[in-house]
Formats: sequence, structure tokens, C-alpha cells
Amino acid sequence: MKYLLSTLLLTLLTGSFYAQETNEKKKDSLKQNQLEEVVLTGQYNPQSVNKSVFEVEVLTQEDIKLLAGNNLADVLTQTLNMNVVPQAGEGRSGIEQFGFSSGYVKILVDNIPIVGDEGFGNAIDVTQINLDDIQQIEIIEGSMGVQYGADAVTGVVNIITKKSSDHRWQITPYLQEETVGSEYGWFDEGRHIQSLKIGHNFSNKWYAQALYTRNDFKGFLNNLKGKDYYNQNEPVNDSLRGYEWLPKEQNTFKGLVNFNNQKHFRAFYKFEYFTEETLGFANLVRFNENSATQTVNPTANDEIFRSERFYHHLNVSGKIERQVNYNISASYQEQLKNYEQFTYYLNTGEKEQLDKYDYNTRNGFFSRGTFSNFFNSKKANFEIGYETQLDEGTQSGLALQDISQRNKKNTYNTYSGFASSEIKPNSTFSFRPGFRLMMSSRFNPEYVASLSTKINLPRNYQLRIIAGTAPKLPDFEQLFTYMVDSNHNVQGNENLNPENGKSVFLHLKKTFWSKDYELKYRPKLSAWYLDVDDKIDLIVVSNSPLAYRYENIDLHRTWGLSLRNNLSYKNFRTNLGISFSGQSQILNASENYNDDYLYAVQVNTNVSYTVDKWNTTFSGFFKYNGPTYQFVYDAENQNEISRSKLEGYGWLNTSIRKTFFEDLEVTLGARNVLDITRVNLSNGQGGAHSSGAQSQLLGYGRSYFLKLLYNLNF
Amino acid sequence: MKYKFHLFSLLLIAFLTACSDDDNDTGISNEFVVAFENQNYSFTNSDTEREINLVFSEEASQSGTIRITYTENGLIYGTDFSTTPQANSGIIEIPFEAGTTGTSFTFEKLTPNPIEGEELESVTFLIAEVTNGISQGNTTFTANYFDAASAGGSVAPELGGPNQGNQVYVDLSTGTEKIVERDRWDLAFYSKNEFRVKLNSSLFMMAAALEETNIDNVMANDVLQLQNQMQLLQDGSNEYVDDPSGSISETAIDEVSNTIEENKVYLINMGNEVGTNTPEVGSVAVAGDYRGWMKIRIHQENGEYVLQYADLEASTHQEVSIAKSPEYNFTFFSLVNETIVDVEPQATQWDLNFSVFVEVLDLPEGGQTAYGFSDYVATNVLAETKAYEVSANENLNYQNFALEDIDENEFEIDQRVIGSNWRDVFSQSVTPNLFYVIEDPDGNLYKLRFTALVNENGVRGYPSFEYSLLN
Repeated sequence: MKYLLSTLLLTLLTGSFYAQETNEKKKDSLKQNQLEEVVLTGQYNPQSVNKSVFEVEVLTQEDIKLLAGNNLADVLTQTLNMNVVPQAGEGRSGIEQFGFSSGYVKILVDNIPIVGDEGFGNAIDVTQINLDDIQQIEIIEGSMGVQYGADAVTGVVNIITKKSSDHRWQITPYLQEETVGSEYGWFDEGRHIQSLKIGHNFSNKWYAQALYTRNDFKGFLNNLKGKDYYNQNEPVNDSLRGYEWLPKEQNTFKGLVNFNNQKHFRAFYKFEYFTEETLGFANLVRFNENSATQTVNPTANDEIFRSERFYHHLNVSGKIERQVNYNISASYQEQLKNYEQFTYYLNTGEKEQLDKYDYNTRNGFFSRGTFSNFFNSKKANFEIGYETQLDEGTQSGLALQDISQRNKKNTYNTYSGFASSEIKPNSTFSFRPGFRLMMSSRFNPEYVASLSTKINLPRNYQLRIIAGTAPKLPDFEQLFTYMVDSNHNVQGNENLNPENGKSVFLHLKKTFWSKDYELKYRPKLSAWYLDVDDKIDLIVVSNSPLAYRYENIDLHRTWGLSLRNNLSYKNFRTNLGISFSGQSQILNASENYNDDYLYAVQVNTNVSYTVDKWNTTFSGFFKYNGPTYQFVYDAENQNEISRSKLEGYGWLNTSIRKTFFEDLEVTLGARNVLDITRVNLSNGQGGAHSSGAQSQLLGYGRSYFLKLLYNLNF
Repeated sequence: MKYKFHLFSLLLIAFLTACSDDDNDTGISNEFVVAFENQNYSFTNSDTEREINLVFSEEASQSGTIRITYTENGLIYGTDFSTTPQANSGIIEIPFEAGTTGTSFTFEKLTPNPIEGEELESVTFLIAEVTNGISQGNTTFTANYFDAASAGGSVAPELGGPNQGNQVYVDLSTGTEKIVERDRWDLAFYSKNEFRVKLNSSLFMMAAALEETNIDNVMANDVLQLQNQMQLLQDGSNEYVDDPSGSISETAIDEVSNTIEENKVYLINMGNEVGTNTPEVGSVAVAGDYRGWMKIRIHQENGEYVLQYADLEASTHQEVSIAKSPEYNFTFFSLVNETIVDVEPQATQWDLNFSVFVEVLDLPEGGQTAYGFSDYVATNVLAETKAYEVSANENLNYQNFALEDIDENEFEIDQRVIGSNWRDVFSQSVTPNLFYVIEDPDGNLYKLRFTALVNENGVRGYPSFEYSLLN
């Protein structure tokens, strides 16, 4: 621990010596600004990363291209403090940030939450977020409840889409062929993507864009043997049927109309229609032995999940009376997930429908308006805003014993007002207090607060201290589970309160420039503490008879340090980040628990180099997730707690992109070069309690992709 | 610029033609197999005709004909027996339709069985030919004109699906089953020498002795503490249920004493009604609404039971005399319908009872509790049906297990021998590589193997097994 700290400090110090040489000269701020990233998340107006009070990490369009990222899951694997966690058996992937599940991370598209089948803004299946019209992805760590409301607990991922083009016509078709691990076939294996995007500037005021992408993922068999397999040797199920990673096909249609009067008014309307079909194949085969004929007629219960999403977003922004900035968004979204279960007869290929119903549906109206710049002052700016979120959803599978009770509908209508002020008493110091009042149909009013401070230290060091809170709303399972029969009693609790997240982040950074501004180096040291109080857990409410219920009871907390380094020199860019964090859980729900901090390390780095002469960019992205630990209870003796260990593993992606004839981009690359599939999950204690080797499925192994993209611009 | 457009068009064509092939679900083609449902049947003199069933390995994909020949052993076609359809030059042709999973023909018995001492007579049918198919397994069926134990076959007891509303009594030697709604009865009064009373465990009933001997004096307020104890999954609740071994001397209700004053009032947890909900595929919903509480007191009078019963809140009671039924294990009484009811077959005419059942489990933190099981199979211990479990190994499996492999020392008289061991709820199937050896009250020795826990669609409450006579 000490060692790590001193390394971090040393790196900063050596950096500063180096900087002294190069920073003597007065900087050309214009040139510098051209090279700075502009961010939107949490800002009053788009501004450079350097000026932002928040710390925003940016994944650029270039990064996404080099990763050949088609959806959010393809690119977030490289982000520090974040993991993409596949639930391969359901065909979903969620993101985990600081060890918290996807319910604690808010995902926004153009500043507004996106609807998913399990949440409005949170618990999003990141494989369902298409990236073909993206300008950049902005990631903020920390509780952002004032800016983005409930569930923005561990952080926010804001996807900014592109809304303009430099060309009158821009027609961009592309094809992408990928292997899935070593599995590839023209039709029935691998991943096949086709996309066409057309953008047109009707005038200097009107721009429109249409996009269609089909992403056909044929699934990953790994050691399984597909849908027509059953054990031919004896009528004993060997669980080898089906797919390790479910096949699914996605279609995305997007439309955009953008109006910009080139003065003080801008408006856009975005539309999206998304469909997804995921096929679930049961591992269990029923043999249906016929003793008389000594034959079997194997069947399996297979599933089809069909999702459909509609997304509308209207945004207007501008200035009132040439003074007050306003930015108003209104959005209606719905996502419908339909579930079909049928019996599949392996011998004949016949299907017999068993059940079909709307599984998870959600529709929501969202509107946010912000108003700022009420007076001209360099010392203070003030923003007020409102947010309305009408969220109605249903979830299924909540009552195993009674299908008439399995669907529950829930409405969360929240109405918020928020205000913040950015105050700059002098050039070295600025701070931004913020406050939000959330009124909701289900809960008592929630008060959310934040305070961000930016201090310009001598020698151009910048220090940011960002504190914030955010509530996390209970999910359906916690509210409505009902599994009660003669032997069991597990119940949701409709009286649950939101969980309370709060965080403090410290960021110290500095940008170093070489004399000629060819070289830029920016290290950033961050430290944080984040906790979620009143965390919901299942507790024993009665021992006689045994009954469980969800209650607000636990405290989960995490702290950590990270050092991110960012270096660019001419055509060469590189990043190196390292993060060290600890997690501790106070489980008041359990009679005994261990609240020791469990530490883990993550490292990410990427390198890209462009050879102008060849029109070729070489890139490598690598992220190492160190071993992570968890306390687990012994199955037989609840008093025995031991540590389980998930082995460390690395994601390495490489690609070469070359542009032919100026317009044809060919990207050839490999994902998951280190061939990660299952990672061992062991109970580190060994001995009598090593309950056999387990593993967690994280990837589908090394896969190769080829992307052909054509830019027809005129 | 021109070649750029060529390239562009190429890409566009590739884009437009890139589509997946349509899934052609051809499946795996298998041979169509026809067999007799059972291997034999022993006709009695009261039988005049019987449907002989033929079953298919799968739904017939086309219509066709099954040709059956027969071998007479003392019986003559047209004299002693006949069939519909009729035989023609020694061949019975049975048509079947596409889309069906079985067919049948009728066997008509024209003469009585020979009297004892005369030659045993029978006729054996053989499936000789099937249109676009074969016969395998039970290729023959023998009609006996004498009393013989069933050679075996397959049985799918009608438990009633995921609510498991039935108790099914199976007699292996006759291949018959008796289906009884499991909420038909509440108390069972033992028929042999002892005066013992059994609870209907399929409804999760429980009984606890009170200090009181006057039934009218017991009020709800006196038993609040006890009511909390008398629950499934409650430490100590095993004391309020009959011993799951089936031993009649270990019932929750003490032996009914000859001395009237010694017989205490019992608090009865009536358990749960049969469930009515439809659960998710693969789950059960056996427990319905709570049936509340009653109080009873039992004494004996002139070799009969006298039952006093009342709702827990009542200050008066009903009284009924219940006589023993010598041919049966028990006389059954319904507290709900206040009448004696017909439940079990005669004592020696069943071997297995498929039912919801209450077992006793060890709790992880120590202690024991009563716990409800579905898909339970109890053996008829009171008629001394014996059984033991065999784990198949490389050398010994259900198929090759023979009479000489039986180990007499392994036999147990305990109704839990099969219990719930045979099924694995997590894999929704039978436990692999287990089979059972059963000796029925008549000394017939069978091997028995479970083949399903759920039906073809995965719905619970559709067990099936096959068995075969060893001696």
C-alpha cells in the first residue's frame, strides 16, 4: 500500500520536474484548446475538459473506431473501475462500476436516461446501445444525483451522438465480420454486422440523418453442442445441449433532424426503433422414455426473448433575450420484452408453445430543462432546472408458484427541481454547490446535494474536490418478489426506501506541454470514497416459521486511488491508468459478517500510432483486472466466512486500420487476444472448504474482426 | 472516382445480400417404433373384453397398418377368444392415422378360465410388420386365462399435474392404479390390533396433545404458543407429524387408550388445501389456502373408535363412532365432510403410494423440522411391502439386474426407501442410475426404475416408471 502511494507520488514529482522545463514559455491557449476535449456531461455549456468542474473521462470516436465498437459492451471493457459483466445465459451484459452492479450506474444518451427492460437509465443491457452515430462517450465517476437524479450513484455514462456533418451528403455503409472465439461460419456462427448511414445537409440550417444497423450474433457454443444435441448413450441428461452464450439478432433504426439557425436557437429530434431477438436453449433435455418401444422422444423447453424499443427525443436550446441560456429536452421511450416458451422436439424439430407473455415492459416520459446565465458575471453563474420522469414498468417472474401473480406493474413518477451555482471568487478558485429536491409518487421527498470545488494550484496543478449524493431506487425484485408456499417464504417489501449513495472524489492533475506543443502529457491522481447506505438486502424476518423479506439495512463502501496518464506526441497517443480500490460491506442483515476491506487493482493502457504515409493506424488496448475477492459463507456452517477469489485476467484488443483510396476504411483486429473465457473463482481457503473449482464466464475467447467501411461524401 | 463507385456498389450488394439462412428445423430423423403397452394381462372370469393398446415412439407422420400374428397355447381363435378387427388368415390388421401416438384392438374373451388343476391356457400376440416402421421393446403381448402376476410395464400415475391433487395407489402385480383426491380424508384409523390414528400428511396436517381431556374446554387462546410451533420449517415441528418411516407405533397422536380419561384432546393443524395456482413450468403449487385449526379427542369403545371433533373456537362438539375395516390398513374419515370415506385399496392390493408427503429434515443450525415434499413415493409398509435402492454401476444396471442379484439383507420395511430420492428437482428429472427392488405382499419380486418427473413439456406432477417381474 505504502509502496503504491510512493510510486504514485514519484510519478507526479518526476512529471513536475519535466514540466518545469517545458512550461516556462507562455502558452498559446488557442492551440491548446484545439487539442482539448470538449465535454457536456454535468456542464452548463459544452466546455473543455480542463475547465469543467467535474472530472470527465472521454472515449473518443477514434477510440471506438479502433475498437470496432458496435455497441457499448464492445468498448467499456477498457474503462478503469468498470467491468462489463455478461449474463451470457440471458444474452444480456451489464456494467459494474466500483464493484456495484449496473443498477447503480446511470446511462444517458445525449444527456437523458435511456430506457431498458429493467430500468429507466439504470440496469441497462449495454449490448443494446448501438454506437454507430456516436461522437464520444463521457464517463464520470461519483454520485451525480443533483445533475442526473436517482440511480446515478457510482457514476454516469453519457453517450453523445453526432448531429452534424461537414458534407452535403454523407453515405456510410459498412460491413463487419467477426469470429466468436474460434467459431465462425458464413451463416450460422460468428457475428455479422451490416450498417448503412446517410446524412444530408439540406441547408446550412437543416441536417438530417438516417441509420440502419443489423447485428447478428450467432452465439457461442464453447463446449456445448447446439440445439439438436442430446446424450445418445443413455437417457441421462449431460447438460451439453444449447449455447454458452445465447445467439441474438439486433436491428437498429435511427433518425435525426437537426435545426440550427446559426444564431441562438438549436433544436433536434431523434428517433430510434430497436429490435432484438434472443434465443434461449435449455441445457436440460427430457428424454421422455417410452418403456414399451424402448425409445426416447427428447424434448427441451426453449425460449425466445423479443425486445422492442422506441425512443423519441426532442431537444431545444438557445438564448432568451440574448441572455438566459436554456436547454430543454423531452423524451418518450418504451421498451417491451416479450417472452415465449415452447417445447422443442429434438427428433422432429416440432415446436409446441407453452407460454407467451410480456415479460418486462417499460415506458417512460422524461423531460429536463435547465436555465442558466441569468446575469453577466465572471464570478458567478447560476443554473436552475427541472426534471420530470414518469416511469411505468412491469416485471415478470416474481412469483414462481402462481403465474397469475408473476407480473407486477410499478410506477415511479418523480418530479425534481434542482439548482446549482458556479462561483469563481478569483482565478484560482471556483466551486459549485448544487441541490435537488425529488418528489415522487412512491417515496418521501429526497434531498440530494453536491459540492464541487476546483482549485488552480501553483505550477498549473488543478485540484478538484467533488462531493455528491444520489438515491438508488429499489428494484422490482426487492419490492414485489413473492415466493411463498408451505416450505418457503421470501417476500418483497413495498415499503422499502431508496438507498443512499454518497461520494467524495479528489482529482489532482496537470497538463504538460512541450515547447512546440507537439507533446502533451497529462497525469491525474484521484482518490475517492463512495458508500451506499440503507442498501437493500434480504433478511430473515422470522425464524418460526422461517421467512425472508427485503429491508433497507446494509452499508457498502469503497475507497480507492487511481493514477491516469495521458500522453500524445504527434501521431502517437498513449494512456496508462492504474487504480487501486478497496470494498467493504457491513451486512447488518447477517448475524455475522466480515467488513474488512477487500482490495483489487486494475490497470488500463492503450497505444495508437498513425503512419501518415500508409494511412494506417495501429492500436492496442489493454486492461488488466487484478484478482478480486469476496467474502462467502460456508454452505453448511453460516458462521464460517471465507474469501473467494476471482483470478485476475486481461482484455487485450488490437487493430490495424488502413484507409484505401481515401474513402475505404479497412479495420482488421482481434478482440480478447488473451483468449479469456471462464475465469476461475476459487474459495481461497483450500482444505476442507474448497468446494470445488467454480468459474465465471467473462468472454468468448479470442476473436478476429474485419470491418469494411466506405465513406461516400460529396 | 469511378472505381470508388464500383467499390461502393460492391459493398452495397454485399450489404443487401448478407442475410441469414432460414432455420430449417429438420431435427434428427428417427425410426418409427410400435410396441404393446404391456407385456401381459391375466384375465379373470369376470372379464369379457379388453382393449389391447399399442403405443408409438412418436406421433405417426403418416397413416399405415400394423400386422399382428398370434401363437395359440391351448386357446383357439373364434372359440375361446376373438378380436376386433378380426383376424384374417392368422393376421390382424390394425390401421393407424397420421398424427396419432397409439392405437388398439379389442380382445374378446369367449370362454371362462380353466378350473384349477387344468392346463394353463394363453395366447401370445406378435407385432409382425409396421408400415414404414419397426417393432421393438414389447413386441409381444400374452393374454393369460389364469391368475399370474404382471410381467411389468410402464405406469404414469396421475398425480394431477403441478398441484398434485391426487394420491395414487399402484399395485405392481396387477398393473392397476387407484386415484384418490388427497383432500378426501383427514384422519385414518388403523384396522389391526392397535388403536392408532394417522394424519393426512399430504395436506401438511399436524397434531399436538393438550393437557385437557374435555374437548369443549379448549379455546383458541390456550394454544397460541403451540400454533406457532406447529408449522413446517419450524424447529421442533417434527414432533407434531407422524413418523415418516410409516411405523404405526410412531404416530403424532398417541395410541388410543382403553382408559377413557387417559385420552387427551389434540390440537389439529388442518394444513393446506390442495393448491389451485398455476405455477411456472417446472414448479409445483401444491399448497393452497390454510385450512385452519380443529380439536379432536379419540377413545375406544367396544372395539371401535369414538371420535369427538370441533372447530377450535367451538364450545360444543360432534361425536362419531368409527369401526375398523379388517380388509384394509385403515378406515378413513373426513373432518371436513364429517363422513367415512373410501381411500386406500385393500391392504395387500397396493404397493406404492404417490403423494405429497411430510418428511422430517435436519435443520442446518441443529434441530429437526417437518418439511413438505412433492412427488413423494411411499411403500405400503403396513402390508410389509419391502424395498431397497440400487445404485447402478459398470456391471450392474437396471437392464441386466436379475433375480440372483437380489440381496435379501438389503430389504427394508420403511415407506421412505423410494421417497424423494428418485427425483432431482434441479435438473427436473429422475436421479440418474438409481433403481429399486420391491417385494410385494404376495412375494412377487420386481425391479423398478423411474423414467420421468415431468411431462414432455416440462410440467411437474407427471411421474412415470417402468418395472419388470424378476421371479
